Amino acid sequence: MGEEHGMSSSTRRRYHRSLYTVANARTPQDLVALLIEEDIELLIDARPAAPDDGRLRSLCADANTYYAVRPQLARLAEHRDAEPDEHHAWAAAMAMRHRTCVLADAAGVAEETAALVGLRLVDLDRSPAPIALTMP
Amino acid sequence: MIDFYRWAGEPSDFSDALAGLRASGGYRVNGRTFEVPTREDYERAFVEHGLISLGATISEYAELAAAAQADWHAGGNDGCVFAAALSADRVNSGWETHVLLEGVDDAAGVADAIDALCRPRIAAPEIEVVSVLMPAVDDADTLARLLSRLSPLEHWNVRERGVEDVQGIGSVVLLGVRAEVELGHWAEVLGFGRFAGQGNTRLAPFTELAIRVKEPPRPRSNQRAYMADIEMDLDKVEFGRWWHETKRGRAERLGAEQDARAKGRVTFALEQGAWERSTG
Repeated sequence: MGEEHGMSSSTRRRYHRSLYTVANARTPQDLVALLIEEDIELLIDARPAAPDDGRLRSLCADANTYYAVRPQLARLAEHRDAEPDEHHAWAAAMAMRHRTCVLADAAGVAEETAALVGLRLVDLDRSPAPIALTMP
Repeated sequence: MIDFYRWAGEPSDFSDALAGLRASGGYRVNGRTFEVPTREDYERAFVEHGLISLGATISEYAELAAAAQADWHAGGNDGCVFAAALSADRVNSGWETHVLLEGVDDAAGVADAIDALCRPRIAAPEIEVVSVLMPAVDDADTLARLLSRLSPLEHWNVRERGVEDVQGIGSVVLLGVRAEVELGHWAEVLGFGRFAGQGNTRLAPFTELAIRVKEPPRPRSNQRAYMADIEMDLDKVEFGRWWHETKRGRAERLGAEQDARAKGRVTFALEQGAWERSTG
């Protein structure tokens, strides 16, 4: 999963340099298990419709992970000529402070957010290996 | 239009003038004396260095008031080793000071202005603490009026957290101020200033609201955000040492008698009459 923190010019504050994304293709339990494995601190649910949001909120709370619903982030993926707005700026700022994953129905939802502040986008569905070391 | 002066400096910017600072204030707790610089001490140091015109007061110089308050924190007078280190290196620490450039004649307007000032700072990733310094606010009634106007605002919460009978003062109400930050958390606000009921570690030269404007790294079940959440470049051993030093220093400066009045959840300890007049 590469670098997690980058020293800024600050002597104390460290900003995350990556934004993680995952497609809506898992059960809430499996998704939260993945978030735990990847040490995600904040899940941003960017799906336009999220019928399981109550379950996800509860599972995230149990996993000591923030859960925020921001369907507005999906707008750019649907309207490619639209500009990033305050929701993207909010998500980008959050991703700098927290290890953040965007849950989306469609590809490309997290790209504009990552691009706003130069974050590297990491697709957890394509990630070759989890952080945790496992014995063979 | 209510104006603030944003100070983005360091106490060390005034190290020449502050080298001549002589502390005339202080207190004695359990047989130990603590010397603490007062507003007048800072004013004298700046006057002697030609930074304040003769006959003027430090309160008229927003930058100097901010630097004095920052130096007071950096000197460990608030009893917190972490705050001292953060205040000595404010830019890197993300600790901003905004000085209110007028009095609080319009308490509701100032409350709205403080709220409007804080909202974008909560969203800014680089900011950890926002201090609102109010050099013209020195009496409990004015401060109580301001707090009572903050209370009904959507992102603020002002609550009575007890009443203490303090010798020589009478009934003192403990007021806790919280500000809503991101992700459903509420940050504690620390209050400083020269008010009779305040604990020794809060008796700063100027009235200040120090607002922790970030949620903790992970959600907390009580949804509270603390100053102690600020990331420091310390290993566990050093962190533990600072923590114990802070605990010891705080106990030494407050004693058992003042402990409740200077806890993190208490922003100000004010004469009860002032609070009742503001809310009545």
